[in-house]
Amino acid sequence: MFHVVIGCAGDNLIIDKIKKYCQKKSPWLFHYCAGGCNGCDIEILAAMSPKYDFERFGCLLKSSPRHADIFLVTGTVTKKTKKRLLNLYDQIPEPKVVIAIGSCGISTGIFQKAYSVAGPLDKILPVDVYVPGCPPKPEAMIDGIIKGVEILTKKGNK
Amino acid sequence: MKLPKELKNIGKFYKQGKNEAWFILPYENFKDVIKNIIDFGINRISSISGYDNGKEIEVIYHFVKDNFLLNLKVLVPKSLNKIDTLTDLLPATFLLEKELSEMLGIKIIGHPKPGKLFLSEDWYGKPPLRKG
Amino acid sequence: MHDLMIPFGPAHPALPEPVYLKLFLEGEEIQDVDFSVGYNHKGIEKSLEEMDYIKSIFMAGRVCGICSSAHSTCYTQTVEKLLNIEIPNRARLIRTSIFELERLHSHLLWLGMFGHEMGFDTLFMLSFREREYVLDSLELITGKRVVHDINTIGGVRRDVSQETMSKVLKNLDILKDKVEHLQNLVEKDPIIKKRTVGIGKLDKKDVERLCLVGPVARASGIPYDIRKTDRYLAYDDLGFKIVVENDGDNFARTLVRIKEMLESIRLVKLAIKSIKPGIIKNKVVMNFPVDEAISRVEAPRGELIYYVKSNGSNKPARVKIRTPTYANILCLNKILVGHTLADVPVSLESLDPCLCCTDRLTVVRNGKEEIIKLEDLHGHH
Repeated sequence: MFHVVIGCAGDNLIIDKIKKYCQKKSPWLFHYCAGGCNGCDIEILAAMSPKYDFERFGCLLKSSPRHADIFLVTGTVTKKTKKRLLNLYDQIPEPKVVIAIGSCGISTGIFQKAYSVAGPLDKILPVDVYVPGCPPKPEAMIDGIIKGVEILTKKGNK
Repeated sequence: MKLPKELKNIGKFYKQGKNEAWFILPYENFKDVIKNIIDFGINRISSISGYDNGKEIEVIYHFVKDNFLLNLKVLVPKSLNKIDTLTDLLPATFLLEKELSEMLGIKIIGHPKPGKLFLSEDWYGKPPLRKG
Repeated sequence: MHDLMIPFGPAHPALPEPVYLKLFLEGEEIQDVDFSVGYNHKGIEKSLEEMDYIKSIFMAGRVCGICSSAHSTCYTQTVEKLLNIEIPNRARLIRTSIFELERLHSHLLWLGMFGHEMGFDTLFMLSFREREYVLDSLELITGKRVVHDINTIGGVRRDVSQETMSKVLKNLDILKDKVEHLQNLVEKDPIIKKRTVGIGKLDKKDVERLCLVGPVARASGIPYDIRKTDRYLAYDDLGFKIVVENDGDNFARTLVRIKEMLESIRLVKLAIKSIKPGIIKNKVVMNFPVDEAISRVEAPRGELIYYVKSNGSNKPARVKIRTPTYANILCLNKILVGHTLADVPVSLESLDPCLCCTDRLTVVRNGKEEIIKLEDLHGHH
């Protein structure tokens, strides 16, 4: 008779190593357009296309926040979408990473004086990675996603 | 296409372009004038623009026939603040009139579904495109 | 009476943009549709009144990222009409080539999304791969892939060199074979036909009654195209043929857009070969009269109209934009009622909606906050 201990408080047991490996090798993304002009959204779809292909890093663009590890937010946050954005953020399980894509999310870009804008993204959510550009190229987005994966593994180690 | 002579007296002519004509229609019976234009064959409306010039609200109906643009301006006095609907003659004005009424604060008499289009029910403050 | 009401949106996997539809069903069949727009609204028309004319061109290009050059060209054309100036011939041909290249990229993006809605992800990947030829050409000419900012009052901002032109022509030759292959695929595939023929029918009377525009009107037999009626930019010199189909269902709208892609490739090649040496921008004295002007173009989705009123200062007094999706969204009732729930994403996508164009004005809503996920409708996620 033998017992197998499948890790509760240890750091280096096999199940923890498998969990960390999976988080690093297959991060799933969820995208939400919080009032943008669509320029960044179509570049995210182009990053999935065969020329740039973020699927080779194990990323998939999922349609449910509950399946996601990384939250991609495009556009400047309008007053109407603010509550929906916070609702979606709460539904993503820990550990999670938020990436602000485009100048609109970093500093409201060209829409600074528009009267329906609720501010840049880091006033509403804790942002981990910023990808500047109007819109940023798909290579820049993939670079941002990889940095996000490194932060995700550090958060998962805690 | 040149403006046919039956339509030369529909209102006060004030501007001519390469393929366009601009008229000011009287406020009281502008709907009958527009009904005549639609019966004549010009039945495609492209847009409705509104502007607050301080004394009154300028509402412009942009009609199109092939390559000719017929722009009809109606001046709504701010004391009355209302205008007849055109949805019974042209169903395509449904959304355009809702936007006009919301952004400039004019009441559209007879619209089948009045109410907010873009703004929320509890919007506070004056209509966004009104001045002063 | 309706059995069931399903809310579709605002956050849903079908489109990258938020729209809220209320679908009233009885069993699987849709009886009525109610729609609500305005989730993307930022207050652009009001912001344009606070910027001077040169800066506002950059803002007008960001009303929509997909048809950015169409908005920018139409706005610049209207301001040039106010000032009563002409642009040089070289600038006209450069603007035309960028306009048509943008139509190509928009239709290829649409074809990919259309395949994705039906569950045909291979078509999505193929269209996006071919789209890269167009975006490479745009990057060579303007420096950016989308949102080009090439226009200024009196002409264009950047010139195009001989080497760039020959590279773009080579890209377009390769692209023509690929688009013909995609046309063959779509026209002969039995599953695409089964899911699109006979669904979402719009006949001539509906188009005239609701004043629809763009490929939606041309797929129902009405040859309404601003490139033919207004003859703006260089379309008169290049000679242009309208593409018309007669059936009015989802399949006809697909065929219209694919044939327009081939016509656009021909126009860009002809425009680039006709460019002669010259200046790219006329000198402009910015004395704006107290006047108003209106101008239209044929954006990838239909007729786009800008109305600009000036009061003599260096900022516009009023800018009114009427985008094509704003006109086409009225036909949702006609194309969705009577069909099943599974046809909703496909029919909605066949209209090619661009909702960031529709919601230019302000929406501040503190009412309902429902997030609806539609994985049940999308079995392949």
